[in-house]
Amino acid sequence: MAGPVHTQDSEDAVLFAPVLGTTRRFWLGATPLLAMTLWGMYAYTLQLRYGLGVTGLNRPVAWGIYIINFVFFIGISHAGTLISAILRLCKAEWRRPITRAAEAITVLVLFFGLGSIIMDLGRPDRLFYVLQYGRLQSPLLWDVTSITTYLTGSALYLYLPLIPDLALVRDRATGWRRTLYTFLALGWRGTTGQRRRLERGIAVMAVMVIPIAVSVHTVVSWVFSMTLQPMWKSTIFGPYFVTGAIFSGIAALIISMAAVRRAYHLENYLKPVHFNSLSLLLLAMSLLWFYFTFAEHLTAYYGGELAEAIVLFAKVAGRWAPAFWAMAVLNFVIPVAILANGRTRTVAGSVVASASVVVGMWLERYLIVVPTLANPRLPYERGFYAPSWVEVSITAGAVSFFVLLYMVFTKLFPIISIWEVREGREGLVEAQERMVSYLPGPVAPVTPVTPTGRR
Amino acid sequence: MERAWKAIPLSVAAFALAFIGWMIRMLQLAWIRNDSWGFTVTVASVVIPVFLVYLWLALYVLWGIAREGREPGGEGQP
Repeated sequence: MAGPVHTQDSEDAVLFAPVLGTTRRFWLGATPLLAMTLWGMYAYTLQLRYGLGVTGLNRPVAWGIYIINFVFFIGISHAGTLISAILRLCKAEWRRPITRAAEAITVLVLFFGLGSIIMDLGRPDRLFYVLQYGRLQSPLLWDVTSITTYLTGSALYLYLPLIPDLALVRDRATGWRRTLYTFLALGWRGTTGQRRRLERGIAVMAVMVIPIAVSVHTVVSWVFSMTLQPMWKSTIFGPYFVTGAIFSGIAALIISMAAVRRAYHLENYLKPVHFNSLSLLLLAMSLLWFYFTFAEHLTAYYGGELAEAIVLFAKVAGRWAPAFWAMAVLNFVIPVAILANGRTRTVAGSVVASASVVVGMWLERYLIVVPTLANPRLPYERGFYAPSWVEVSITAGAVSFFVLLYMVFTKLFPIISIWEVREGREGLVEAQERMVSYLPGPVAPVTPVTPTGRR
Repeated sequence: MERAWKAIPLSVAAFALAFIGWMIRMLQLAWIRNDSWGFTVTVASVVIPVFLVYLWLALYVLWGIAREGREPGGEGQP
């Protein structure tokens, strides 16, 4: 975890630079985001003052943009911890520069997932009733429990691999930064005992966090599928939601990687090969998402139950048809067209495909929530929902605040795991030996390789 | 800063214990009211072990790293 400091420092100077100083470009980027965040906060104060009457929520559409955002944000959170943990467990060497960026998305976006629930409450103070008098028969309380478990686990899983990097920054920082990193680095010196404890902690968390992440989005899907509402009562909603979550999570990760790569000149660390590998994962998830969407709609069509048929046809050929077909194009046609072709599967191509998927997956969440509520099973009048400017402002403010927090994170902490990159450089022989151990029969003796790839 | 090193491990441990305490309170409420007992036991039997692992992380990993960092001497890069 520690190497010859001076030689490696000059190589990795670009990783320390954002943490040890702030450029004018950072403030130029942060100011509009801060302004949008403040506007969103103003809109929320209006909602607090006048109640949910300022939103577009109505009868029968009692869930709107906040619940859509909740499902969407929780989905995005699968970018980090899950992908990072799977790659760590598989010892995928290309993971090293991308795990931190992924884990940071998870922790930060989960706050907005939880925040969306609070925004959906006309009286947020009543949240404490859940803690005081909660009944665990309610899937809503399962959500509170599972998301708290996931957030705590993800925060720990982000923090543990950060400790050696905090020590590296501590040894180079001055003033308030030095105080901060001294506190956060827990006195890390890279002793054998400290390494043993850290590696054990990361290994345990990497195993634990995978089932926790999968269960979280399954529980989110149960909020819908435990009801008798048309097109919600589905046994595949759990895996369907998890697939969509990983899909949108990978897309968000690719966008954030491209952004930090460009902003901090990390082309030597976040290489086209990383984008290519993630793009192939995104392509596979696009096909899987299409399969689940097809299965979900086919069973509703084949069953022919009246309430389900009304919602299904409202989606594919009625009021929501433009959104439905836009979703199909954004989530399937565009990403597959770009990513299935080796020539277009470039860094820029993967970012375009990812942006398409992020928008498409938000539409998918919208199409799950609104058409069903607008066409209820019980004999209420049918309805419609369009978000008010207050809801749109709060949503824009939340997204801006998330991007702002991510920017601040990249300023406070190295966005690429420095010690893991160095460990990768120093462990090339070990990686070769591990590869040899996978192969059957006699293998030619291992020739040491330099970090530049020369033998 | 003399005692600050304890803050992070103890905060994580306190949060884990608080969540386990809340879960036990939910079990107690379900028992007293004879309401949702099966659901509460099921959720608690999953969540409490997970938070016990978080508690272990706080006490074994974080506390251990911080304590070793304060010991004089030892190998490693300062």
